Amino acid sequence: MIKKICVYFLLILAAFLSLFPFYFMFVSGTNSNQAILAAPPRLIPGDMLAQNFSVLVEKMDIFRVAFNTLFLSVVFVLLAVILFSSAGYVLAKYEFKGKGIIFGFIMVSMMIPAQVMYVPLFQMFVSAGMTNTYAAVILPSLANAFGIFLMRQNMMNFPTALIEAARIDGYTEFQIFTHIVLPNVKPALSALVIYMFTTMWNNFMWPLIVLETKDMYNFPVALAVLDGNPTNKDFAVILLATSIATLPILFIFMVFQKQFVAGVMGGAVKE
Amino acid sequence: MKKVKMFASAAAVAAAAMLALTACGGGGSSASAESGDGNTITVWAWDVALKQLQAAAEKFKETHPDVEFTFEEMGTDQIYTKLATTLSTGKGLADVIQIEGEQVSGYATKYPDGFADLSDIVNEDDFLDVKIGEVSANGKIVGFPWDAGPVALFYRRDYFEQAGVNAEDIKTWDDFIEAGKKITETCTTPSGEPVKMLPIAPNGSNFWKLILTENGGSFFDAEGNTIVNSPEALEAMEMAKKIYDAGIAQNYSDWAEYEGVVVNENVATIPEAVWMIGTIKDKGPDQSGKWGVIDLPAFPGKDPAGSTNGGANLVIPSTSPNLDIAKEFVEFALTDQQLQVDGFVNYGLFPSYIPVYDDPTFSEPDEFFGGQKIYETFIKLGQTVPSVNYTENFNEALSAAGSACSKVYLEGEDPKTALDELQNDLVSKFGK
Repeated sequence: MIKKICVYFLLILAAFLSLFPFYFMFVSGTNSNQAILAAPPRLIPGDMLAQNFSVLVEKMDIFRVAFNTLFLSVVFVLLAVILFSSAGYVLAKYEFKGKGIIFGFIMVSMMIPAQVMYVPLFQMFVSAGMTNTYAAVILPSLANAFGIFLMRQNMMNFPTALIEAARIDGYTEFQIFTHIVLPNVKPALSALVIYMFTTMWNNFMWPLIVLETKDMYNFPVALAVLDGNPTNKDFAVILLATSIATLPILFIFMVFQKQFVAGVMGGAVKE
Repeated sequence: MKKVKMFASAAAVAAAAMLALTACGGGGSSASAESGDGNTITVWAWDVALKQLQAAAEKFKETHPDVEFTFEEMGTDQIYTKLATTLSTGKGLADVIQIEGEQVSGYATKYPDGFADLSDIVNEDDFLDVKIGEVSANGKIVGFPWDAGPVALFYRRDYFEQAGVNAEDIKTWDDFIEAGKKITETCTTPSGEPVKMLPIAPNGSNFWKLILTENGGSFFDAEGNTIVNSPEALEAMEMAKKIYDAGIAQNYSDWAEYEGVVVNENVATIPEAVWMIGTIKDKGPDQSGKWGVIDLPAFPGKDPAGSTNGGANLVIPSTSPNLDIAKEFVEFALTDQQLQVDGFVNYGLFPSYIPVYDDPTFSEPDEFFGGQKIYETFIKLGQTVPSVNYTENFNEALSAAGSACSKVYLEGEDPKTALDELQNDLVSKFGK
């Protein structure tokens, strides 16, 4: 009994520590700068929400930014699911010459730090005349070794006998993939969706480099602009904007969280 | 069959989306920085500076109706990230870019041909020495000096009065410490905390760097050699330690806490640059009439001098297809008397263009500061600040100096040992 109380106490403490920053962020969006910077800061919602929001709208086209971020994330996730699940399936279940080498190359690409690639990538997109486009943000992220690896590991466990049975029953290879394999790796797909969605939603460095005009910015870049003045910061407005940028991702995680954990565990155990 | 259809339609949607994306590309990039049609100037700047440049552009168009402008608001970090990629490739750069004063020579040294030579439009005698120092690199003038950050001592009239301290009597840092002890003992903030004399970040080098410049020292000499253990630097570090050890400092660790000391009325003085006027007015609107400005206290036995912190400059990339018109615009925007006065009145951008100081605006009293003519103090001090050579190693030296300072403040290390160590570290890193 005492042990249980201790465990719960620790869990509540940990939950408080991780949730408090979120609470403070949301609450601060409704307070004035003076209230946020006061010692101790105001921890209950204030009445400045409308005013902060009107300042925010004046400083940044939040609806356009929200659309950009959502559009980038949704299109990217669609493409990523198709690409990574099929690539993962092929690498897991087909035997062909050079498979090991191809997989090796994909894995090795995980070892190249993103920073090394920014300049050459930027040069490529400038030459192609594609800077400041949605495609320029999405395309490099589609070469994502982690996504392929995650799908391959989850599909390795899929019983080959089932695939062979389907083959004997006359399914085409494509039908086997869509009818037999995909429905059975749903947890992994959910994990992929949530992981790829957050990656694109939070994508900062590359969009910062390749996007040029305000009407193309996603949330992370637009927030950086909002925080751009080094000597006088409008914390209330910045925190309000951050809250707005965080809500959708929080929502998605809550909806998918069971699958998220299940999917990540999926590749961990091998029989 | 349903599943196949779903998958196929998802693929179709994605493919269509991808096509749409690529199609967007054509339209989207029309506003790109590279249009290069000879009369569209793209500007990267942050916050109020951008607004001021927009106002300047409106005025510029009156005489140059065929010139178009594209303004992109960016934060400081964003500009530096963009500069790193675009200067390496020479592509995608704007025509006019705002850069913080201390950072100009770093980029100009790393990319020697990156910025256009502005020697022909910058008359060195017309600007504060310290700003000319910021934009000098490779024996050229690579930027146009804009707002300056002359440092003075902001002080709270009410706390000084309560403790019976006369602001005019604070001539040296020793006087400052004595006054600080009195104020720390006597005054309390509205929420009942004891009032401290000044804010110091014990994990950073801000305060040491500030009084180092005042004392005539710097990180590097004119040839770029590291000189962080010079006699001036040691004297400044010893003074910083003396002030910190006197127990009159309010610790802070980041920008939010720094603004917090204004909001919470924790300190009686803030040694800071002229732009702090805007921050104080914004964050402590109910403190009107309580603030004043005096000279920065001097080192014992030395003449009073100023220091510098912050302020920005404009650069023009040498690859700009609109080089001539961009130069003309920058010169106009930063030397037109009325524009400089407006920029100061509306946005607190304190000009470094000396001829503007004759404007009556700069001798007007400020009600928030008890009707004191505070700008005259900043103008006077700004002209005493010597030119500093920042070099491409400045950022690294600054962060190393931060750890040296924290050792002195927090671990009680001897200033001489700490600075000798810092000197050795930096010399082995930079090779000079």
